[in-house]
Amino acid sequence: MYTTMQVKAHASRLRDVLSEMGHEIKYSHCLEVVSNIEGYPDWNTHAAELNRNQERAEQYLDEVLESEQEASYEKFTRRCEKKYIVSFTEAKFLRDLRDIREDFGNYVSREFMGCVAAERRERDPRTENMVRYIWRGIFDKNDVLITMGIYHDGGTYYMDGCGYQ
Amino acid sequence: MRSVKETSATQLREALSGVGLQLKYSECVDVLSKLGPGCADRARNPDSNDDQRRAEQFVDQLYEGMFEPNYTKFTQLFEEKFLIHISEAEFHKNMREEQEKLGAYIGREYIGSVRGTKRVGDDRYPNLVRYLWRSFFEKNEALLRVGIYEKGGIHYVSGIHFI
Repeated sequence: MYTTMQVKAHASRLRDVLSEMGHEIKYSHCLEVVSNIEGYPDWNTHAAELNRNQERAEQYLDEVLESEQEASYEKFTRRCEKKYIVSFTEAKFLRDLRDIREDFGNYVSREFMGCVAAERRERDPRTENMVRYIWRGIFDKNDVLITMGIYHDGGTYYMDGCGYQ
Repeated sequence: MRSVKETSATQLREALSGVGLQLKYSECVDVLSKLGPGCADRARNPDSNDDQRRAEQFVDQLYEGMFEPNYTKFTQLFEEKFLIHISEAEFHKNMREEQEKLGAYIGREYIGSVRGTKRVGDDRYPNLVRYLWRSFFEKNEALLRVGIYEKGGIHYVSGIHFI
């Protein structure tokens, strides 16, 4: 699970299932149980980690939006591992930017929707721990589905692209 | 070697024991099977609105068509004039590829919806809304996107994608 919302929903459901089976348990205990199963010592540690991850994703998206505002390829790619963006040239970035502006207009606001594990691909170690963050983006011409993949390697968190659909 | 389910049941048993609830191993297996992977499944939530309920029904039907696989069932919710884009042969080929990549379907969790993109001169899908789920399969998770639009009081599917 990648968001506190998902963990809370899971804990609620666990309490309901246990109750149906005749075992009454507090919601706060269910949060502890779910956190334990996920490998955390307690709910507070778990929630803190999830919040940090979400804040990081929000920060990376802020940087992406800024880079697009400034048409700065350097800023856009600063969170990417260089070896994975060889074919993503500055010319392609600027072309994509023109398409985004034409289809969606200017960025207005966004709303975080959730996370999904990235599809695991053989011979791509990034996908082992990659999480895709999802937002509803409001642009002045259209609403947009924004997705961003984030993975970590050696303690550094990298972005694996940011897509608008 | 223990299966994932056995490992999870053991973990659940230990975690429950940690908060003072002693359950048998078999009861933990039972709890896990009732929980499923998508515990925030709002399809069964009476508070979900009509649009979301319709979207859930549509996905149930699309998934049935995909995983049987049954072309007729799968294409029932599409407007006939758009079916030229999905031939039966192509459908079966795509389904084989998807099943190989994803494995068996386990469950899903609703994420939310985003309005469809309006482009000047493109009125193929009026009132389009794109619904999103976190979809769980044996081998992978996937972000499922299904577009639903309304024309003359009838709701159709514009497309289903794992993105």
